[in-house]
Order: sequence, then C-alpha cells, then structure tokens
Amino acid sequence: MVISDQALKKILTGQSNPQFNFLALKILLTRLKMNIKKDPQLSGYHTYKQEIVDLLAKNQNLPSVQRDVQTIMGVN
Amino acid sequence: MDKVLHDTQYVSRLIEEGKSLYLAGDEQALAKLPKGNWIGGTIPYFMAEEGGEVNRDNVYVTELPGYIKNTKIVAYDEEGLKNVYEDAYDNGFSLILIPAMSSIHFSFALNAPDYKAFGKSPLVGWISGVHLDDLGKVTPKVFNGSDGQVYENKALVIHCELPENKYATLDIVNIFDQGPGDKITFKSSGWDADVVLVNGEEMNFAEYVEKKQLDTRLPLVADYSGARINISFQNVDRENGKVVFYAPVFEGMEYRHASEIKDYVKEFTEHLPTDKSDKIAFSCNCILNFLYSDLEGKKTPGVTGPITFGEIAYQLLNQTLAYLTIEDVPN
Repeated sequence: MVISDQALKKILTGQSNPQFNFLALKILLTRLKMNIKKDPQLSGYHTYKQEIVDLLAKNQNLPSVQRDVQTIMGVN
Repeated sequence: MDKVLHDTQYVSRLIEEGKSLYLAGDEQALAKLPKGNWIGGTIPYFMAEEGGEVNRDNVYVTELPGYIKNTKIVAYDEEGLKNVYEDAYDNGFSLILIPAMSSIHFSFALNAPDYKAFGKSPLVGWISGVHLDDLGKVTPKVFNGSDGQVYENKALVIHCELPENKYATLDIVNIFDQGPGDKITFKSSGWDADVVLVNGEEMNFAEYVEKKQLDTRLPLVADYSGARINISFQNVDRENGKVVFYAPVFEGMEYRHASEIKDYVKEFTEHLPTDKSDKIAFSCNCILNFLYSDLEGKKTPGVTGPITFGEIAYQLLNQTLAYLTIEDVPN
C-alpha cells in the first residue's frame, strides 16, 4: 500500500482534517495525534506510518477503508 | 423482529444442538446453562423485541450465523488481553465480555488503543454488570460455556472466522454532540480527575462542575477524528474535589460537555443508519442511556441487545450504541 508521506504528515499534524469512515482508523489517528503533541518533530513518524499502513492493509477489503485510502491519497 | 430473549430451557436446547452463542443474562440464569460453545456476561437489562426490559429469568441470545467457518473461545487475563487483536482471525470478528469494576476492565479501557495489531478485525462487546439493586452485593461476571469457568477478573472472547464471501464491520451510534461550552483537558489519563484545564486555565473539576451546574447525565465528548467518543460522569465528589468517570479520560484530549438531548428515541432513530439495520449481527447499548432516557418499555427501532455497563467498539465507550454488521463481499 503506497501512501504519500506528505499527505500523511499533514493529517497527523492536523494541517489537513479530512473526514474518515473507518472507526478503527479514527481511533488510531487520534492516538497518534496525541503522541505527536509530545513529538512535534515527528521523530517517530515511520512507526506511526507503519501502524496506519498495517491497519489499512489488514482491512483493505472493507468499503469504508477503500474510501479512506482514496481520501488520504486526495490530500495535497 | 425475531425473538431475542429466551428462557433457559430454550437456550439449553440451542447449546445442546451445538449452536455457537453469545449470551447476556442474570447470573442465576446463565448458571443454569449446560456446557457448550458459548460465552455469556451478567446483566438483567435488555433492549428486547418489545422494547427496554429488566428481566432476571431470561437470556438474550445472539446466535452466531451457521456460515461462520471457525470459532475459538479464549479467556484472557490482564497481561494476555494485549494479544486480543493478534489472536483474531484475518477475516472475521471477535466478541468480547469483560466484568465491570475489575482490574482487567480498567486496564482494557486505558490500554486497548495501544494493543498490538489494533483494529486488525472488529472487536465488539460489552462490560458485564449486575442489577442496580445488587450493586455492591453481587459482582459482575463472565461465563465460559466451553469449560464451565466463571470469572470476575478475566475477559472472554469468542473469535469468529468468516468465509471469504463475507466481511464484518463495526460502528457506533452516538447521539451526543460536543456542546458549545468550555474546552476541558486533563493533565493525566485516568478514571478520575481533580485539577483540569478549562480553556487552558487550571481549576478543580468538581468545583467547576458544581459552579457551572453541569448536567452530569450528559457525557463529556471528545472528537476522535470525526468519531464522537463519550466519557460519562459517575460521581462528583465535592468533598474530596474529585470527579469520577465510567471510562478513562486521556491526557491531552480535548473534551466538551455534551449538548442537551430532548428525546432519546427520536434522536437515536434519526442517527441509526437505515441501510444497516437488517444486517446487524450484534449490538449493545449503555445502561446510562437506558436510565437517563427512561427506555424501559420503549423501542429503539430495528435494534435490540443487552444494556450494559460499558460498550466496546475496538475500545471502551460510554453512552453509545455499538453494532456489528456482516455483509456479503460485492461481486
């Protein structure tokens, strides 16, 4: 699963706040955003990204996840 | 709507026929059931086919569909529960039961979002409880029908594997919105709070609740990237300057007190996705909604289930309906 670092960083830092459908993604993103409040330099970015990619990959057959992946790809 | 509350003789027959069941009932009712492929949690409150009901004799039955390929029942202690997502089938779902007011309840509430493989597959369920008249006299329990064990401090999970042409999804209905009031943040995560930040200003939360005359039947609401997640008030201890909750607040999260709800059933009906109601395989709702909205005898259209001491949809929730749907994979 290819997800743009630029898009994901915008989402994780709150520069972009798209609406997602998949409940587990909403919970995970919220936890990661709280981590990032203590890690504004995003030193743990690769771990954060891996958690998101793993979650989406494991649920890639769900229509809500497919929509959310498209949403992430649409973040510029 | 199919009947969902059954007497123990009927449920015993289902068990003896080899059905896989996820049960809710009063302790005395569950204790009458034979061994088999089932787990159950204690509670005598239900949204049944005829509406909200208190029933100590009958058992709420969720019969797992016959197309489920495999099931496995696992009893988890606090340490083991962190593997609950990893243990799930790749295509399936997991139904969980945790006894209220146990250390595993508190641990799950604080740590579930950090569990390895979080969200790998839907984890849905509830916190078992007791009749409110029995609070302090009887402990909430979970029953493992496969070996007859009864626990006060273990979680029970029935992991279910779906065939390739089916998928499960988990979602919530929360009718509460963040109100227009103050932004409340907590200095540490936990089940109670004394000093909090209100719009960035430090103050005692119990004093604040009293001064503002907050209606504590309405929860605090956090915005989880678009999902509204509630924290319900359990007690405002003015003497000790402490507010106790039914779920942990999290450090750094921004909460606001919920807007008032005028008619729960009307709001609930409007929030329920109408295209999903015939696909719901399991749902549960909160005892605080049952009590505060006076749901006894009232129907929540298309939705039944146990009325619980906490709902689980990947993590612990309060005053929320959690529901699992099973659908066909589109061709």
